[in-house]
Amino acid sequence: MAAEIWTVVEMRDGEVRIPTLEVLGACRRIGDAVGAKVALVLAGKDAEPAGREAAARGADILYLIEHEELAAYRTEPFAKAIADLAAEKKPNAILLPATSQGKDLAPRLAARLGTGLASDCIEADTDSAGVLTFTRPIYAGKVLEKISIPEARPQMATLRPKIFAPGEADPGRQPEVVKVAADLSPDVLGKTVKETIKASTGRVELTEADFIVSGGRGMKEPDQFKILEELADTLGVAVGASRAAVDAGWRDHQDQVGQTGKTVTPTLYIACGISGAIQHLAGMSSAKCIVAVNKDPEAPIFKVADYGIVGDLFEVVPALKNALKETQA
Amino acid sequence: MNIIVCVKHVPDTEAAIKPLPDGSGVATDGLNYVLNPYDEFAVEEAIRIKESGGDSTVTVITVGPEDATKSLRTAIAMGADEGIHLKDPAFLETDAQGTAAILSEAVKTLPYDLILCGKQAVDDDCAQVGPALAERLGIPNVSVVTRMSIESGKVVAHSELEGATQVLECTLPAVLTAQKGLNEPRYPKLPMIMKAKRKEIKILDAAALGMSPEDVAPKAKRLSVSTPPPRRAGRVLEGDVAEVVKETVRLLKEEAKVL
Amino acid sequence: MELVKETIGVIPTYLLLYAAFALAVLLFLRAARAKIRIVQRGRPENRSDRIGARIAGLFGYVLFQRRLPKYRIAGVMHMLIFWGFLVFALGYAFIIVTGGEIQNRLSGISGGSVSDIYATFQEIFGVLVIVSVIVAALRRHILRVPRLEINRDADIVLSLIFLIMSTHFLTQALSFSLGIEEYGWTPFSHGLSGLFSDLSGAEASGLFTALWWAHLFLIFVFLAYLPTSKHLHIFLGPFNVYFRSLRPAGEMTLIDIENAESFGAENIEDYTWKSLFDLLSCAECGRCQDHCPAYTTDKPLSPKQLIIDLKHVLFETSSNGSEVEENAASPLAGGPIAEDVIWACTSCRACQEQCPILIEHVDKIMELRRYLTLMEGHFPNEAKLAFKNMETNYNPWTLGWSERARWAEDLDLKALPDDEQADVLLWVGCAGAFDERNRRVARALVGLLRKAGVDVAFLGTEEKCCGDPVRRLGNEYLYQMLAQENVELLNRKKFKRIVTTCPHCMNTLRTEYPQLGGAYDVVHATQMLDELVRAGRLKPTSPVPATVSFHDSCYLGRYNGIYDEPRRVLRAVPGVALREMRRHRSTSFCCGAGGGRMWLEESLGTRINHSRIEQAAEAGPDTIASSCPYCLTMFEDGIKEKEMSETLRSLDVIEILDKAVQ
Repeated sequence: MAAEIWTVVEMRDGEVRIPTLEVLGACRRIGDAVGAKVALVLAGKDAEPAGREAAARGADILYLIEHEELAAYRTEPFAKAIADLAAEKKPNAILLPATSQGKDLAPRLAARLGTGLASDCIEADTDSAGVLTFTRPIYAGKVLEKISIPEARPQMATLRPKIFAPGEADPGRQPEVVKVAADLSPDVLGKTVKETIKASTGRVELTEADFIVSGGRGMKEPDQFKILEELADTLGVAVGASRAAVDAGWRDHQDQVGQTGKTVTPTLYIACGISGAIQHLAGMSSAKCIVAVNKDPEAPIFKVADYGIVGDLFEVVPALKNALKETQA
Repeated sequence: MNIIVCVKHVPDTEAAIKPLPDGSGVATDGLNYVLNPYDEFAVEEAIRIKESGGDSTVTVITVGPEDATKSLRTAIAMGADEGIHLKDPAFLETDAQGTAAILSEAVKTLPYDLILCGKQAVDDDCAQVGPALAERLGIPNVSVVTRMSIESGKVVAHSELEGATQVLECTLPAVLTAQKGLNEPRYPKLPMIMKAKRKEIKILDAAALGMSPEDVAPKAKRLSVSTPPPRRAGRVLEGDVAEVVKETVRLLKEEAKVL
Repeated sequence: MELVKETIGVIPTYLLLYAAFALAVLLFLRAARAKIRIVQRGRPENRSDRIGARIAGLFGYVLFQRRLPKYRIAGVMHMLIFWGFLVFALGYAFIIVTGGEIQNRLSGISGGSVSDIYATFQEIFGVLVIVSVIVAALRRHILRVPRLEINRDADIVLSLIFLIMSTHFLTQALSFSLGIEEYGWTPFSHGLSGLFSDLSGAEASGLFTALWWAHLFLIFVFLAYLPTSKHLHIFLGPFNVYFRSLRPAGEMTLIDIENAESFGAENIEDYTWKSLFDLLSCAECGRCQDHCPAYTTDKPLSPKQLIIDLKHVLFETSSNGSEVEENAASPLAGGPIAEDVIWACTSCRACQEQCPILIEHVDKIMELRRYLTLMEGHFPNEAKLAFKNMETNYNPWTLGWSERARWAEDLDLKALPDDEQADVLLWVGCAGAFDERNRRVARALVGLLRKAGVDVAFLGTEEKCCGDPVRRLGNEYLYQMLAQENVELLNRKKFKRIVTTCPHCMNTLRTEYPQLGGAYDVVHATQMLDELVRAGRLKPTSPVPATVSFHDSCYLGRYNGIYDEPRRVLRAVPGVALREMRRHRSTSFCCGAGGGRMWLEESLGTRINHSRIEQAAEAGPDTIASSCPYCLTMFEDGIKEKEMSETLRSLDVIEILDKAVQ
C-alpha cells in the first residue's frame, strides 16, 4: 500500500527527543508489517540536520515544515501546519509520543482532522490491512483497554515513553526529504511563550514525579539525606520523606509523603529507612513499583514493596546509586 | 466574566476496578463516583476568579449518565452558579473526541470568556477533551496548567513540561486544562451543599444540541478490557549488598520495566 | 446590757437591719436578673427532665461535695469552707427569717440544747474556715500553686471570708468577756476573750457594737460583691449541678441538618442557655487546665481560659439589660477564640471529669468546630483528605473500601449475610481493618473468641467507619451520612451483641447511634474477654512475664466507666505484674489521638504521646498496655521516636491475653 504512517517529531533544545525515536521505531515495525511508508513529520525552524539524523533511524520520508512561527512549539500553529499536510497526503496513521507536548498536540490535531485518537498506548499492533490495534491503560493502569479506530482516517495515537524500542539507525536507508510550506496567518497563533523556567534542581515536583526516593526515620540524621539526594540526582527524581523525618525536622513538610503530606503516584518509589506505617502507605501505595530498603525484615513496608532489600541503607543506597548510574550511561 | 468548567463524574481512584466477565467493559456496580479530581482544580480556579471581583458567573457542564448530576451539584456546592447536564443514551458510548464535540455544541450557545477543564479524567485517562474542545471552538488552549492569572483580557499560565515550566500568555477566550497544584480545592460549606441539592440543573439531549447519532458515534472503538498481568509478589532480597543491588537494578529494568 | 441599741435615732434597729439586708438582697437580685437575661440569649435546651436525678445530684455534688475529696488538700479545705458557710448561712437565715424568734423558742423548748449544738458547730467550723482560708491564701501567694493565679477577686473573697469569720469570733469573744450567756463548746472564742480582759465594760460593749455592725456590714458587702465575683459559684454552682447534662458522656448533640438554619457556634448566642450559664458559674479553679493534655504540652488551649474568654465575650456583647449590642466578637472562631485553641482539643474529657461545678467544656469546643467545618469549610488541611476518604471509601485513609475485609482473608471469618444470625458481631473499625499493627490485635481477638467458643461474625466490606473522628472534627453532615448507613446496616442484621476493639467505635455505636434509630448492645473487647475469663471459657495459663502499666483510654474509661475489666483481664494472666501510673483511671492522661486529632498534625508545643510515655516510664514498666487502636498507634510511634524500644514495648490487652491462652 502506498499509505503512509507518520511520526510527529518533538524537539527540545534543538534535539529530537528520545520518545520521538521510540514512536519512529514503532512506526517502522508497523510499516514493515504492512508495507507502508514511514514518514517523520518535523514542524519547526532550522531543524533540518536534526531531522535528517532522526529520520535515518527508520523513516522513509522526512517532511520538513519550516516556518518562523514554528520555531518554538505551540499547539495551534503546529496543529494547523500538520493538519494541512495530512489533508494533502492523507496518511493512514499519525502517531506521536505521549509526552506533555504530544498530549497537547494530538487531541487538537485529531479534532481538526475529525478522527479518533488512542492516548498513552503501551502496545500498538497492526493487521494486514493496516488497521491498528492499541492497548492502553485506563483507571490509572488498573485495567487495560484494547481499542482501534476502524473507520476514521488517519488513525491517531500517542505512545507512552520508555515502552517502545527506539528506531535503529539504518545506514542503508536514505530518507527522502520533502520541504513543506506552511500557511500560518497570525490569527491562528493564539499564544506567545513568555519564558521557559527550567526546574531549578532538575528535580520534579513530588506529586507529579515519576521517580521518588524517600527517607524515613532510618536515615538517622538530616545530613544523611545527602545520599538520597545523590541518588535522586542520578535519576533526576524527587526526594520525599516520611512523617518521621519531617517531624524530626530533617526535611521540610513539602517533602512529606503520606496521609498528612502528599499523595504520590510515581512509576518507581524507593523507600529508605521507612517502616511503612499505614499513614505513609496511604500516600504512596499507588506507585507502580516500590523498592524498600530497611534493616528490619519485619517492617510493614516489605508487605507492599515489589522488591525489598533487607540491609543497612547506608551501604545499600550508595551502591544503588552507582548501579543506577551505570544503567543510565 | 463568563467561565465554563467542563467536569466529569468518575469512579473514585481507590475503587477496585475489574473487567466484566466478557471483557466488554468495566464492572461498574458497587463503584463510588466522585467529581474528577483534576476537574475539581478547574472548578476551584473558576470560583476563585469569580470571587476576586467583577461580575462573573461560573457554569459547570458535563456529559454523562443520570448520576453525573451529583458531580455538578458538588461543583455548585463549591460555588458554581449554574449546571448543565448533557444527557442522552447516545452519549454513553462516545469517545473522547466525541465528548469534545458534544461539549462544543453546548458551549457554542453560551457566552464564554474562559473555559477550564481538568487535564484528564481518571477513568479513561485520555487527556483529550481540553485541546479538542478548543480546536472545535476555534480558540487557543493551554494544557496542564499549574498557575494562572487573568490580566486585561489575557491569561498568563504556567504550563508543565517534563523538567520545566513554560509561561505562556494567551488571548481570551481560551481553554485551559488544570493540573494538580493549581490550587487547593475548598471543602464545600454545608449550607451550600444543602442549597446545591435543590438547584435546578438544565438538561440537554442530543436533539436539543442538534446532534445526530453519527455525530456522536465513537471513532476510537473499544474492543476489549482486560486485567494487566498480576503484580508479582513482593520479593525480599538479602545478602551481599553489591549483589543484591545489582539484582534489584536488573529486576527494575527487565521485570518491572521502570528504568 | 444593751449591746445593740434597740433604735438608731428614732428608727428601730431591726428595721434598719432589715432595710440594709433588703438592699443587699435587692442588689444581689438585680445582678441575678442581669445574669439571667444574659443567659437567656442562648438557644433553648431542655435541662428540666428527670427531676429526681437532678435533685439527687444536688445532694451528691453540692451537699456532700462528691468531687472534692479527689482534690486532696484543696478539696478538704473547700469542703470545710463550704460546710462552714452552710452552718453560718443556715444560722443567719433562721435569724433573718424569724427575727431570732424560732431560735429563742427552740432554745427555750430544748433547754438550750439546739443553741448549744449550733454554737458548737459554729465554733468548730468557724475555726476550720479561718484555717482553710489562711491555707488557701498561703497556697496562692507563697506556695504559688500554678493553677491559682494572683487574682484580685480571689484575694477580696478570701479577705472577706476571713474578716467575716474574724468579726464573728471577736464578737463572740467580747460577748463572753461581757458576761453574756455562752452556749455550746466554744474554746477558741473563749480563749480569744482573754484579749479583751483589760477593757472596761463600756469599751468592751462599744467594741462589741462596732464589730457586730461590722460583721453584718461585711456580710452584706459580701452578698453585694458576689455577683461580680467568681465566688458567685456558691450560688450558681448548685444550679449548674442541677441543670447538668444527664445524657451519656459520649453523646454529642444531634443537629437536625435538614431544618437547621445554621450549624455550630458562630456567635456567643449560638450556645444554649445552659452553656452560657456554665460561663457564669466558673470558679476559675483551674483544675480543668491542670489535667488538660493540650495545656500540659504547651498548646494554646486552656479549658479554664476558654471559659473565661467566652465569658468575656458574653459580657462585652450584652449591655445592662434590654438592648443587645451588635456582636463585635463574631465569629468566635478565629476571633476571641483562636483556631489553634479550637483544634488542639483531644476531647479526652479530663476537664469535665475534674470540674467541681460540672461545666461542659468539650461541647463548647465542638460547637466551634462545627461552625468552622460546616459553615466555613475551614479546618486544618490534613482533615480534608480524611473527610474525602471517609466520603468515598468510608475510612480515613486513601484505601479502597473493597479492601476492608482483607485483614480476615485467611481467618475463615463469616461476613454475616442479612438472612443469617450470629451471637456476636465483631465491629472491626477502620484501624483493625486497615492498619497492620492493629490488624494483629483484631486477629488476636478473633482467635480468642473462637477458643472460647463464641459464635462470632463480622460485616466484611459492608462495615463503614463509625463516624467518630469526623463527628469530633465538627463534620456532623458526613458523620450522619456514615452513621445513617451503618444504622441501616446493623438494623438489617441479626445478632445479639456487638463487640469491638475500639473504644471510639464502642462509644459511638453504643451512645450515639441511638440518636439515629440504632439501639444495640455494644461491649468493648476487654469487657467480653473479662466475662469469658471469669466464666472459665478462656484459660490464660501460659505465663507472660511482663511489668505492665495499663493506660486507661479516654473513651473507655472516662467516657464509659470501663476501668476494671481490662485490669481483671491483665491480672488473670500469669506473670503479669501491674503497676499503676500516677495518672490512671479517671485521671488518665490522653494519648493525644482523640477528637479527630489522629488525622491532624501536632505542630505546637510538645508531643502528647511523648508526655504520656514519660509518665508511664516513671512507673517503671516494660510494657504499656492499652485497649484502643489510637493509643496503641500513639505509643508505638512515641516509643520509636523516643528511642525507647529496647526498654519499653506497647501491647494491647488482647494481645497479652492471647499470649497466655493456648
